[in-house]
Amino acid sequence: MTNKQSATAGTTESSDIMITLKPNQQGIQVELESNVKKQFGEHITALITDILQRLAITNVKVEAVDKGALDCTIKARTIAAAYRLRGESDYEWEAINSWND
Amino acid sequence: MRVQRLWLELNPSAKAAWQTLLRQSGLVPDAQVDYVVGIYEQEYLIATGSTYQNIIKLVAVADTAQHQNLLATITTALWERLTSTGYEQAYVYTKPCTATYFQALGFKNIATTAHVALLERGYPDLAAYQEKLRQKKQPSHQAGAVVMNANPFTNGHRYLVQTALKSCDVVYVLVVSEDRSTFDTATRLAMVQQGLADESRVVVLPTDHYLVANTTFPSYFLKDQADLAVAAEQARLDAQLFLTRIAPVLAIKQRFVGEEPNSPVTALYNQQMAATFAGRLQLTVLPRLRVDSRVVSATTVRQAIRAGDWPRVRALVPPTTEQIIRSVYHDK
Amino acid sequence: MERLRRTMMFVPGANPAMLRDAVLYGADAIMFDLEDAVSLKEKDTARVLVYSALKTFDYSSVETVVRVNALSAGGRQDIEAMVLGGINVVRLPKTETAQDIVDVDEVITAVEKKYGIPVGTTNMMAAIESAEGVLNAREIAKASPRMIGIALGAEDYVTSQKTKRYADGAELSFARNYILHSARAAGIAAIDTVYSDVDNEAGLRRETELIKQLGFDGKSVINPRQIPVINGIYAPTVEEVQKAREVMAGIREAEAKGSGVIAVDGQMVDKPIVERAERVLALAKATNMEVD
Repeated sequence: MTNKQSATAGTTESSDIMITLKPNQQGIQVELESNVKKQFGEHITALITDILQRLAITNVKVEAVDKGALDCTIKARTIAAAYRLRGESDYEWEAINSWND
Repeated sequence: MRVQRLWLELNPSAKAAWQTLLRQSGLVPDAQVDYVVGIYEQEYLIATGSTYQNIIKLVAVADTAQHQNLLATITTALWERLTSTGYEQAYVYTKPCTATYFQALGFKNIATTAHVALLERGYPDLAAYQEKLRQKKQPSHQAGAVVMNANPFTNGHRYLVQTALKSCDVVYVLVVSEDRSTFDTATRLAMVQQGLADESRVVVLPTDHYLVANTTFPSYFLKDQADLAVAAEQARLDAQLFLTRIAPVLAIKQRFVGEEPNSPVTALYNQQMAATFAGRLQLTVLPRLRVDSRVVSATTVRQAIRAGDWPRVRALVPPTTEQIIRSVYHDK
Repeated sequence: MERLRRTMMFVPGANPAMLRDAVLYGADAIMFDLEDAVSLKEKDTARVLVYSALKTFDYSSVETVVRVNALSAGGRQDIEAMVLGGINVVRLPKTETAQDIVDVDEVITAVEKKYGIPVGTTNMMAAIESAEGVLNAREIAKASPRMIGIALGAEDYVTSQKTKRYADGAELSFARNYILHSARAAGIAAIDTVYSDVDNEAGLRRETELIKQLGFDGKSVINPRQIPVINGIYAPTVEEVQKAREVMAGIREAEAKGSGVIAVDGQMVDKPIVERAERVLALAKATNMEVD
């Protein structure tokens, strides 16, 4: 599989988050839509950015539609979207697992 | 709540329930659907949605079930269907008051009129199209635009562009991308590019999904069969999208159209543009070029081709177009 | 004391809300489903979602089970992610032969070794869903020391038998009994199939009473509403609990006296009676009955 221009993971069901990655000229830019944006917007944005950086994805526009997802869901959806964007299905579980420490 | 497929042709009772629910929601059950889903509570249909190509339409939730988030469930099911059939984009055509629900599901508004909102999701999106335009943008004081289907590209089109060049320093020629015409998209684009290659101040661009497209203006392609009330609404939406999303990106100040004596749908489009632009963008309607006192139009060229009247074709189109037409018909 | 497995609830792996809430419903085991409940194109997202949930939520009050895909259809990746996430049991669907279990066992062993997890930490169970699988149940049950149970998957099974499910369950009679015998001979659990008509509580009761009578450990569950019904049927009566307490008291007394022979109410208490008493007390505890 090859790199794709855009990738999505997650749904807009309650407690989920839908992460869509699209090309961006420069840097990681997160556009967040969430009912809890006021309180958790910065946290969610930082979490998504952190995961993408760990996966070496640097220039990307992120459209995140949050439906009250917990951190573990945000993480899982971001990882899945990133791998889909890279067109890879074999995850580096060892690396991913080390982030929990 | 389980989403199930409604097989309208196989199941008359499902079809009746579907029609009833749509009418109760103020929607017209429209036969142009590829795939229909619904949610039942006991034996009652309480929510439905459909797709036609990659357009999500006829989404309705019964009044009694409004408190549940069924719109999301239906939309998710339709989106999954679209992505599993290979689409990476989806469009929603809905009432402006419902648009916010779709925005909460990750759709982005791309144009709104008093009665209709058009939203999209996926990639490439409007932002990507605008980026594509931006890369072809030329510095200008007075930029003009001509939108054409060029089916095929005629001397009339060339005349329209050349007239525009008299009052504009740059003219953007936007060629309809939707592949629903006698000549396919690539051929029409090539005709326009070659037919205007000598004009250095002309920039030829595609319209993608954003002008005179299945999404914005499907009735355009129905011509004689179009429902004019529906067409007028779509024409307004198309004009709105041009005014707010395309013209600003290219600094377009003026749009040129040919006068339309024959096609009611195109005449309607011109009217709606005039009403929508209303002073914010100049609309210039030019009389059609005439040859031997007859109006030059793509329709007359197609008639001549069908009649095998090559001298007449030659009189109506530039040599570049003639060559392409001959190669197309030679191949056939 | 072996653990209770009255209810093993299916949780679709692609649903974040259910992953979060699964532990609240009172099932003895929760079974994350990466197989049939997940559409083909969401296999990747469900896998990482369940992994992330395992790393985050406290599932210590239940046994965690994952239904993985066949090894040829993403099962290897499922196993790597789940073992790494600390799953208790890997459940292989559509098991046909003992070799299927041996193959999965090898994959689990490789993952455990790769990540420094003691080999054997992860348990296994097999779902048997065809005539071939039923007839091989005995070998399947003993195919690996990781095996803790075998389960009947009736939907596929009845189709392979050219029948469908009926209210009285006669069509499952052989499969249930053979699977149960195989499990008991191997000393592992036997789990009955799901009852898919979630609105029919009377039917669920009837079926649960039948499989309890046969000797099954419990049932797979597809809707949380079914859990209290099944757990309730497995609850012992007050008399059974009273009797069990007396048996255990008698044992303690005999042990204190150093007596080899245990009698309660003048009756000899042998090993089966003790085991049954232990199980009754465990079931009673799980249903919040007074036992001490």
